[in-house]
Amino acid sequence: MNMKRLKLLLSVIIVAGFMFLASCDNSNDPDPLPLKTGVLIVNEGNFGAGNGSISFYDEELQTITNNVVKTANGGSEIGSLVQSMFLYDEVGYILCNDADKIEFISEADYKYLDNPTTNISQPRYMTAVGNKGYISCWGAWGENYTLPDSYVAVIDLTSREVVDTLECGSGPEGIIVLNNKLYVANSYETTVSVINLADNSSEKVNFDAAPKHFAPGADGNLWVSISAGWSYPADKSGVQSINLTTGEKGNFVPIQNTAGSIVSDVSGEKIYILAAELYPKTGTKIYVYNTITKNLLTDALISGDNFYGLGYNVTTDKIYVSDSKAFAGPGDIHVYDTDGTKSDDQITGVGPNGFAFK
Amino acid sequence: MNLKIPVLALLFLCLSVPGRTQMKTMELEEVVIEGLPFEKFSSGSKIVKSDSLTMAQLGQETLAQYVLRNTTGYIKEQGHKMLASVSFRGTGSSHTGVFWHGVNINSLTLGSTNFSGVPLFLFDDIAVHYGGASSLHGSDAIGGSIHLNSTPTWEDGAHAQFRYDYGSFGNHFSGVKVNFGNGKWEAKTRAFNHMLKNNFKYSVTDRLGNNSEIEQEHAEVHNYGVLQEVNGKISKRGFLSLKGWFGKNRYEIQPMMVTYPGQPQDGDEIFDRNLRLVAEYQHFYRRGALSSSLGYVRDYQLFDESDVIETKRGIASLSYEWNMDEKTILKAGGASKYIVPNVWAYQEDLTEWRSDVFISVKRMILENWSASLNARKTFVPFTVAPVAPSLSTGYRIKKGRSVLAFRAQLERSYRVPTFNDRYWGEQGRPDLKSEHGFSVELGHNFVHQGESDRFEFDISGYYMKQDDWIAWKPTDNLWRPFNLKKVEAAGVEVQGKYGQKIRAVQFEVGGLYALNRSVLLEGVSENDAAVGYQLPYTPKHRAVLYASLMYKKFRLSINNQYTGTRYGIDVIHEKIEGFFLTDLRFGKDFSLGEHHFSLEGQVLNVFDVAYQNVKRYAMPGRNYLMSINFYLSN
Repeated sequence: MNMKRLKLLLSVIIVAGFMFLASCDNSNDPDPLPLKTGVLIVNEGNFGAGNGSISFYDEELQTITNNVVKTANGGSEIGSLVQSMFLYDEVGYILCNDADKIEFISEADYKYLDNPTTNISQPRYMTAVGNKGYISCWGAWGENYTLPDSYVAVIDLTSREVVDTLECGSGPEGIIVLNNKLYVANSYETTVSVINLADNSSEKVNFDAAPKHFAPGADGNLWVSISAGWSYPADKSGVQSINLTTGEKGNFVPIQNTAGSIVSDVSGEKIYILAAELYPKTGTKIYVYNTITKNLLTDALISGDNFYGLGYNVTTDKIYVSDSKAFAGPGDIHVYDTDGTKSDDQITGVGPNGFAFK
Repeated sequence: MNLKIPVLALLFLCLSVPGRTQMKTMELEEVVIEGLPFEKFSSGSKIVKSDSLTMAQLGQETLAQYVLRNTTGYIKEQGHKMLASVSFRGTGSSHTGVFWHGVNINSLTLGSTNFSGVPLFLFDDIAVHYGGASSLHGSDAIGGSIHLNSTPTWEDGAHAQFRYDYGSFGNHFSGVKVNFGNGKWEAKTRAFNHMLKNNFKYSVTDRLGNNSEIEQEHAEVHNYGVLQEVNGKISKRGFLSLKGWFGKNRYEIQPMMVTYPGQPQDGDEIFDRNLRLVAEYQHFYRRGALSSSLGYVRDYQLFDESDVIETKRGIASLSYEWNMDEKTILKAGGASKYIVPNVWAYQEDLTEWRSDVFISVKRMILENWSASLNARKTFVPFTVAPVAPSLSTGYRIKKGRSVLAFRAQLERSYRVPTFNDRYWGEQGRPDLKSEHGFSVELGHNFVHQGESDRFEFDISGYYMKQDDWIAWKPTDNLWRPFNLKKVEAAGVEVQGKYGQKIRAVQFEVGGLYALNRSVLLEGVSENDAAVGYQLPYTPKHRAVLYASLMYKKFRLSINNQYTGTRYGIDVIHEKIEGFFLTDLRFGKDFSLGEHHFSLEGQVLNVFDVAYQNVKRYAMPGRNYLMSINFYLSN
């Protein structure tokens, strides 16, 4: 073997290698951002990775654009887990529960409107009325993974500052305002806090397992998803109503392994409920409950794997289901008609957990 | 002939003399070494050993830095000197076995080793065995395995080394090495203490476009370690070695980069304490050698001063190597482990026995052509680990001053699921299958030793298919582990170096390059979008280029490492830019009669590159380190 040739070969390989590296790192220019109406998807991201993001789905063209916030802002990412997003009055509120902040973007073009509000601890979900936003916050962790300091933060939507806090139970999730009353689902206990916004007086409605989220029904009741998790007896999972006038509980409708996500259609006649099969089966299901006929369809409307979030587009009557793919890679969304026919699938960011319709 | 192999093995063990090699003229060593106990049965695979000169100069360097600077492996480092997980040949962090004198030190609960927590000051040699080798090393050796060893010096007399490093970001390292012996017995002690405040700066642009400089907080690291070793030639044919390694590491876990100035930088704290003990006895017979060892490992981790994760294991192993005839070596043996975990989420009084049996046969088929057949079987309660066979073959031609070698290997490797996978709360599944797969590899090595120069070149190509990789996924109310993923990896690794000595000047230049394609074939569920994409945090390209120069007692070296683009968990959309880092090192030795000392300076990240290894975890820009070493001997 010729020494010189070998040396030459080595040099060629090293130089070629570096040239190859240099040449394959050119990134493509991102596509222009779609700015029209459509569906925003919250990708929660992985714990400790800060890779939460927002995607946009164009229902008409059936196309998805991922990372719209990052792209609209010159690469400046949200940089956190994203728990949820709330659209109100042309502003997108992005609630980041590990970076303890709320980011403000323009609903139209996804550009940041301000620096984030940071005087907040583990924000989860938001609602708004008038010029006030209400945010369920877990507060700091206590011992043994308890949440002793949960609260509702009140933000002024003009100054974007936390101006007040309201008391609630432990681990508040879903939050909704109806008839000037704020309903907060306290998921680390078995109660819903009902706060009268006129005087901030509050009372608690008690359930048999953990309340998670709300869906207003056409029957004039507020429906609550109740999840047994593994802390409560399995037969306590389901949905239950709260009478908006009397504040009393109505009938309990048992549904095995409800996960928490619940949405209603435009009138509130039908509510859609996310549930899981019993282990060792690993599937997930969407059930439909009719609040007028008081009938739960025994067969699931939709079945699949790793369903994680649920949405309903009241303008187009499409059902949106997100598929977390176990947070092991990019997730999916599936779009269905109300009869359960799938009309589209799209690939999202990591752990899509919910939708906002603009 | 019969005694030659063990005697050569012993001779080899005596070759490198840490702390003193530095004073010798630079020795250019072979890429592929002889002498590790498993090496003769793996002539078909690539084994690369550290050179003693590099090792002797190491102070506070960790195994993480070693892998990035000296191998084609990748280290995913979650912040500066924080949790570092390895990836060889596109596999995951629990697919590289880390062995200390034959004991796999990967955590039984997590399945991997934190490479930032392995201080190289304590060891004399590191061997990297690329590719799968479960037939020789057992569980975890899928992408590669790393072997940390000390070597007896058998010197008559005493030597001591004291080292102190002072560097940027509150970096203080002090270490001591003491060897003494009478040629028959020897004691070696190494100890160090390393503090790093880690308060480097990085810049952040807020939502209104204003730039701010942020000082990293909550990233302090404190490492402490001691290694004690006693070696004895207790008879003409018996060799005894007792070793103990104790380490303590405390990490404030570096938080993600802030996204706005004033964002609180807090997080969790991890405190690790590891005790590892090994007693080895080898007895050489006329036609063979008996090796036995007893080990004990206690891994203790405290998370946020509340949750304890602890495992204790006792290990016993016995093997016999028999030179059947002039061409055939047979080795057979077994090992047993008794494991006692203490983890808050496991059921109480959980214990486990695991046993291994193995056999290896090597035969010289022709004068230049050897082949070995190895097989190993691990027995684990509630689950079946596959039999791992391998067929390994090598061909060597020596021509004048050149040696040409070709190698080929076919093997099956596996990883037993972790204790967390099998026993965590109600979710753990003791019957989970082992991850397993097969690989094939081909390689070529060329060495030319001239009068005053030396050239080495090595190239490997491999293909690997893995099945039943474990992933956790949500079920009814709990996340549970399943055997879900299939992975395919293929790649090429090239390395070479050239060194020459011209009067008082010695120089060496070298490089390594790896191209790896490692893709998901089946994911966590049907229609997994990640299928067909490169696995997260496995770069397709890794390269290292280095050069060193010695003139009399002055030395200068430069190391450039390149890590290519990686993708985050979102393997489609989350691109993480590659990074190119340059480190410079210079030093001079001074003599003081019998004793001597050296001064050294290092400039790390010379070009002040702002980069992230793990996305959103800040890494420091240009920084400095100064060291002083005293060597005393009598």
